[in-house]
Amino acid sequence: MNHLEDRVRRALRADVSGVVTEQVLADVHRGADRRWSRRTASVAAAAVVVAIMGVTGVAAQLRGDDGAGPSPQPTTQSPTQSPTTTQSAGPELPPGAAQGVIDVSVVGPDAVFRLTTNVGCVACSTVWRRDASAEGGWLWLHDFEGEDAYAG
Amino acid sequence: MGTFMGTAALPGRRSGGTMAKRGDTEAFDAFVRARLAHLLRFGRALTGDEHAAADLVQDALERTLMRWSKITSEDPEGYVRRAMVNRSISVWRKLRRERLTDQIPQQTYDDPARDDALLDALRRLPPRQRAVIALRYYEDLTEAQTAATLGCSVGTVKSQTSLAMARLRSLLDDTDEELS
Repeated sequence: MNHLEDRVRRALRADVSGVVTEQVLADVHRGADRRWSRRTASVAAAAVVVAIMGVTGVAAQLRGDDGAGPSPQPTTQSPTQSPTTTQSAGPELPPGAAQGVIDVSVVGPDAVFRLTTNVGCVACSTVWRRDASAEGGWLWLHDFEGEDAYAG
Repeated sequence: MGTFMGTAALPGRRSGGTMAKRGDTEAFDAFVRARLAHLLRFGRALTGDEHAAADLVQDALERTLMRWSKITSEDPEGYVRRAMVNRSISVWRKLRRERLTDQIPQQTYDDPARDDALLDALRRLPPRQRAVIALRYYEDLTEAQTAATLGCSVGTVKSQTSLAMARLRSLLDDTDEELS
């Protein structure tokens, strides 16, 4: 072993002083709790979105089964105001979404999600999340594409 | 991290949330109490800086605590070590905050036993070379064990070690010349 290797080993083995073990432990537990909370919220939100997408798929399938005849055609009518199926208390939807049918409203641990199907157009099913800072109080998350979304 | 020179009272600790069992929390705490000094020295070898080492150790321990029930039967210290190595390299890659500098960061205390010149030279190495030095000369891992920890070949470990030692020698020679 040469002199430099000796010196490196000696330097790296010198104690790191000035650390209070119990304080480190407290900081670690606090930090882990924060990480756990963030992870739980993220997983819950993802699960809700996945559930909504699953519901959408089933609903689309059912609509397809019901209309076993000719497939629905896009309408040229402009979107109209329509009643909602599961309207719950909350801020108004943005202009486009307010003209649609609220298919499902899901309350997660720290968020509220809605799936809307806008009457009178295709590819107009949308997932929203309540967000006070967003315009109209709802944050757009995702639009579904294709004729399955047609509900006119 | 706020652990240096800290004297704050230990706040109440949650037994739920991150941990399923109280016994797990106690085992984790016992592990930290037993191995913290060693982990801090390893962190200093990885970063070349005691404050950065404290941050690195806390980050790795938080990740370890969240998976404690799964890793406690294996090799928890190996898990922490890998977390520290990966984090020290990924943070550097992501942020590129580290800058090669001739200035030694101000220390909050003065330890005559500390080899400041060597630690300063260590800080000027790329993180991957520091990791090799830390694993080979602090943890005393073999070249094969070091390669396994870093996820590279033994040949890479050999070449990185050689480069790192040559660079350290050069930097320390420069320092000695400046002092003389």
